[in-house]
Amino acid sequence: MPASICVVGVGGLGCPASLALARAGVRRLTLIDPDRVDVSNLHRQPWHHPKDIGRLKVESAGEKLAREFPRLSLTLEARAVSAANALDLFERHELVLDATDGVHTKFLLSDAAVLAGKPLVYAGVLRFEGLAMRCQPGGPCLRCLFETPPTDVPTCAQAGVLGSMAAVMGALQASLALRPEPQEGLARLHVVDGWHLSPRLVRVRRRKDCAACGEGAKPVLRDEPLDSACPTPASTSPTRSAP
Amino acid sequence: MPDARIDITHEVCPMTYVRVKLALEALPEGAVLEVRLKGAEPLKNVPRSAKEDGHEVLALEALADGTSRLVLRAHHREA
Amino acid sequence: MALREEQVQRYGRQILLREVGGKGQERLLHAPVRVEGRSAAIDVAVSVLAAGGTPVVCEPPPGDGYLAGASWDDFNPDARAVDPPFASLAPADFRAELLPHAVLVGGQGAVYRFQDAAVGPCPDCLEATLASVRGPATRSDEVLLGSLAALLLQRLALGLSLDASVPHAFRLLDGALSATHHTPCRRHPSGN
Repeated sequence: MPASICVVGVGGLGCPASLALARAGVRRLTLIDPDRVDVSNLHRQPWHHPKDIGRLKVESAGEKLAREFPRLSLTLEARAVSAANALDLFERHELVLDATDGVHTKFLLSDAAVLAGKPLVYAGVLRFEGLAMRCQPGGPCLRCLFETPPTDVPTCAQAGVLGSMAAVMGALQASLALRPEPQEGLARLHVVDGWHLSPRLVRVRRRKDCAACGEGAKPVLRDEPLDSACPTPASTSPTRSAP
Repeated sequence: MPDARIDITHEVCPMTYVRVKLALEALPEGAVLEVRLKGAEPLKNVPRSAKEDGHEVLALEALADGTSRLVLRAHHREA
Repeated sequence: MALREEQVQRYGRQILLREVGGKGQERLLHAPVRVEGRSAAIDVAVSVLAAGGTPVVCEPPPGDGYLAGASWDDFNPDARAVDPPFASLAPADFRAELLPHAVLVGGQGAVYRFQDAAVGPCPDCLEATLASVRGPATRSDEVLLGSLAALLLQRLALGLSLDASVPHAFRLLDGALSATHHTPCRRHPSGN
């Protein structure tokens, strides 16, 4: 079991993931999130209660985790992940969990994982579909799966998420964090369809021509351009449908 | 004349569309909803979202006061 | 019954789902779940359900985990059940009387039980299915199973199809979720 894990995002995925990791007995947990608790978070982020509205999410979740797991060593960081600090997260932890909701941040974390040579567990939920994959050093990475970040901005109608779907995917992420992939260069993409109830596994191979982890490739960490139309369109990562 | 009117000029995404969706749900099949909205994001997103949910966009026009008027016809899919 | 303003704010992201909407959220708010026994997975399921507006007949509230000692009123006042419960949530080894719809969670899986002559399961098929998910779960997997049980119950409350095309039993195999139909018993060799 990794002794230190960094959970980026304390929302719909980060709440169940941090509970599951703490229950499993992970010794050191870092929570990172710049946001404050909003009433619209409560239905899918159970660490945050109505009285926490307006508080920093890391403090709201950290307070309850500390109460429930007194032996857990917690570090709380109320800031966003950027090109300047992404690599540092991997250097300070054995594994990073991507529980964020922004497409750009997901690719940034994946690129940083490749540079650092550390494992990353990706997950995303869109409507009734959830995706999760453990990216090991040696690939495959998120760019092997999606090649480029999607450019189409999701509509508000696509920003819906059922709380229990996020709960399943966040807990699945924790489960993947505790189980290394047996084979280098090969990963399993977990696809959970909450509507048809048909979980399945898709084998993902490292792409030799991957722009991040391919042969001779070296990712460059970049921050997102500041012209996003809608500040928070989707709740828990709209990447795109599973392959 | 619309069957109902709603003003979402003070809402932000995604509550803009939550309000419109609830208003459309409350209307009978074929009824018309007039929406007052403001800003680039709802102008782009609310008509798209309504179409995705199966409703019909009848009109979208800019008004002199900087807001816009969106007219939708409610269509309810079979559950 | 219309949603109150604070409910529109709290459940807005759920209301946005085409499969939920305002009417679906109202169904969730009026479909209480009766908790028939306690385990770590059940406490997780109860918290996830309550956060999303499903009332739960569960006293006392989970003492640890997400609620962290908070009362229902502090966590979500909508979680207090007023209407009669529509489904049971029970540990996999629970054998006393369940409501017609139930989700059993324990071992390495979660299983739907419902009364439907066409798609079953009969009590023996249910036993065979529960036997197939037996086994120890890790402390982190209990969070996954509890979350899954909440998803199964929310689908049920939303009136989503439970016909023969939908799997009714879910199992964790080496960290991955798999879905199957009920295991047929001897009297129903072709499954039911």
